[in-house]
Amino acid sequence: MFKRIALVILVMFSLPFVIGVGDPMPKADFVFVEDAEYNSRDPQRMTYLADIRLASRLFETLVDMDFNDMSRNPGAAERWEISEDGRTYTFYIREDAYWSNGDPLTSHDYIYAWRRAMIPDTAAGYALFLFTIEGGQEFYHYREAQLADYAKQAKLTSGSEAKAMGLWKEALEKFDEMVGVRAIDDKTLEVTIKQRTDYFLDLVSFATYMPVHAASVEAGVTYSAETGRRMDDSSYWNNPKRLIVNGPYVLNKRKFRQYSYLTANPKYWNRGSLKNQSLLARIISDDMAMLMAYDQGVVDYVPQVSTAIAYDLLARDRDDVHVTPVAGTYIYNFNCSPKLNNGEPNPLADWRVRRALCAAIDRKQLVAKITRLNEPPAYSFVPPGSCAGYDPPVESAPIFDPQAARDLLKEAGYADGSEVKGLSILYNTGSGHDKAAQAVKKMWEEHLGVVVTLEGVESKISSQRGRSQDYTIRRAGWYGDYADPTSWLDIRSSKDENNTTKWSNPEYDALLVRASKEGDSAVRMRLLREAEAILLRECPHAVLYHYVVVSLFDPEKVKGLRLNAWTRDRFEEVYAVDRGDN
Amino acid sequence: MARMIMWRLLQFPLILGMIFVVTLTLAWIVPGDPLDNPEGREIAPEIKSALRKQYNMDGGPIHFGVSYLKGIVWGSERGWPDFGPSLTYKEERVVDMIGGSLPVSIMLGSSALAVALLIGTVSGVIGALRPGGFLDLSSLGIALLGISLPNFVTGSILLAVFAGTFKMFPAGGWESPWHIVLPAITLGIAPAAYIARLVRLGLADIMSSDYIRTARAKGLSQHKALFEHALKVAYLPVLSFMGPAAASVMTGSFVVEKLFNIPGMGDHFVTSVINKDQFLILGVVLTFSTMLVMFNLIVDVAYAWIDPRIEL
Repeated sequence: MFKRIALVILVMFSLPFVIGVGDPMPKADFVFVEDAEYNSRDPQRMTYLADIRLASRLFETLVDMDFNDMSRNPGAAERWEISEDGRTYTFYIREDAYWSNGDPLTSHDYIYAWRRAMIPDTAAGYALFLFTIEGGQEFYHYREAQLADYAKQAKLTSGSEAKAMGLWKEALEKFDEMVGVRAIDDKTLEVTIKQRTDYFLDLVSFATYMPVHAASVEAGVTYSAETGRRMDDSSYWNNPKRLIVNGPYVLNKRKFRQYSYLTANPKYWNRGSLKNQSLLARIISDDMAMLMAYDQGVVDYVPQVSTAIAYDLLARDRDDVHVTPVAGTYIYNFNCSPKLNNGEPNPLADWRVRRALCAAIDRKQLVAKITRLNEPPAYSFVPPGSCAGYDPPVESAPIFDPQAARDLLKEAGYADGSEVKGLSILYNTGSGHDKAAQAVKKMWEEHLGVVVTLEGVESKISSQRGRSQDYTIRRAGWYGDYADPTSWLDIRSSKDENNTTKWSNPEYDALLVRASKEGDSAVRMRLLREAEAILLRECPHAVLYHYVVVSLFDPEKVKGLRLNAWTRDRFEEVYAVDRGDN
Repeated sequence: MARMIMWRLLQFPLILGMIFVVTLTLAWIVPGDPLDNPEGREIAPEIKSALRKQYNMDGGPIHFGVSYLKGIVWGSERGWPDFGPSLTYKEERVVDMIGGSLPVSIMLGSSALAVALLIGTVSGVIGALRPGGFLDLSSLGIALLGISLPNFVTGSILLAVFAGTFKMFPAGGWESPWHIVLPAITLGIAPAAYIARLVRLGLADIMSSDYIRTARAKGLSQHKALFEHALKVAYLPVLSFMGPAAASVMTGSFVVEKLFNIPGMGDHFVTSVINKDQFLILGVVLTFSTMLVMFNLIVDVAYAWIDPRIEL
């Protein structure tokens, strides 16, 4: 009997040695941490910042945005021209720009990629960025209707792949007719946009505008006989052997939830400027495991540590802990609908109540005692300094002033704060949101006598309830996608999907429209400033603080790494010195 | 026995089918939209509806469930079985995600079970040799500690001491057999303590039973009585414990995997639900239930192997 048990144990122990446990990680010149596996490597479909950062290492956009100084530099295009009316852009792609398989990079690759983002078949999360292009949105809706028709037809008579293909051919012709992009020749691309857009070049440097290797992607496309949709072969994007890129690095190897290994792209036109030959992203989600890996020298750089451990690291006064203010704002959305979902009148429909609540939040206290990461207290929605030429109207924001807050409540018809009833703060649990909510609740009770309840839920539930106005006050945050105030201000216009507050101000909407048509950028910024002043006065949301990112790297060992407000590192400039292992 | 196995295998699809229906219903009615991007921009309604079409989620749960089942039973153009795409990792197929992480969890789990069996059996036997003695009391004490300590505490301590201070083992990852040692111990300690108690109590009971006393009176040495006769019987409860323990240990532990950065199944259990990744939830639950049913069957067969008196 004992022998049998011993045999079983022995066999089980030998398993790891016989079958083997994973593979050793590749060695790389620079190793950094990602706290989760990338969600997508398909530039048109990605929406997460980590994915976008990865994509900028693999794919090169026409314009290269340097987020350290906000300069727009030639990327895959060596130069471009902008027409007098600001609506037509002509990009000249470098003669020496190639794909990693040696094919020349052409204007057709860009058109192919952009068209991909403009069709419902792809369901690109950021398709709206392409709608800046003349006819982009119209083409999307054309294709949507076309597919709906097809699906209806296919139910009656039977559809077929050939029919679906025919449908796409029609759509292609329509695209040439409707959409303002044109390949003048293989290396020249002309784009017409709907109206003058000062930040169009910023959009062009965004992931959705990245090129894809048209021939490879097209080779994987199949057509659904049932719905008529074009379907990509999604396995192309995470297969290092197949993925063809035009950026500084190629995807050399990857293991799901373990690592992504990037090596210098030998066909990249500017390969001489790379300061390292390989990058390794190690995926480590646990705080302690992350710190341990860093302390053991396994990783060189932790781009962001979680709020749970950031304060402890800061308190230790280490040279390798870096705090960077970033272009994002921590906010509390107010539900501004006249009535709540349960039919009760909504006290927050009155802007004076909202402003009173804002004025009763001691933001300095909040960042000093609760979040404790030296976040800048917020007095504007657009973080100061994040957009060149724009100075947010901080003077319009309510400052911490309990007396003024009480007066405002009285003016709104509440002699005492306890008469304001039915409010609750909805937040997603984790990341310290519960602590902040408790602090704000206490401030409101103390300074106004307004009693609110707290509701912590999962993030997806919170966002769903936000969208259906099933809340009174809801924690949210907003990061800019591109360096223009509209990246923030647009989400509070009446029609925007992101405006879950249901705040609506015709004057505000009109100012945004006027700004979008304005040719003079100084005047435009002034109009946007006026708009933000309205926003800050009427408080559809309370601005609490601007985010910071706490990162870890030893400046003695890691050179060339510049941290910026957009957390868009340029790893091609980075190199590690004094590394024992290579 | 062959009939029993056949019978159990026949019940198999029925059990899985019921689990599938219950899981699908739960996954469908929990609040939260899987296609949401909570911290970022709202995805435009027209894009969302396109995505819903793409994922076959626009026709309600029954339509979705039927097409999902089709993929599992008959497979699709992507091969067999097809558990569909992941909603979180846009380019991954659920079958690849499980295929990649299940072997990791099985490997870690079987090492943990080996640790558990080794430590558990040895300390149980030592305890039973001299009940009430110093070794017995200390092994019982350690067993109690092992059961009561949650594995994130044991894991953190092991990490801090053996990876942090002494640098004897890597801090985490899944690269070589060395990486398996600390997590296997962490995961194996609780079942080890449990096994130790089972063995110790069983042995003490049997060693004082009439037939052993008779055998001893006839001159059988204590060691022989213990190892050749008593252990066999004392091990039966361990076996019935091993079935569910193997299934739960081999399908991964969220805490241990996270702590040691191991790409196993445990993470899927938690994150798939948080992300409302319905394809993954179903895939993971079906995999787990299949394993659970299989392990219980294996345990029943092993019963017969150890003790031929048992009829199945």
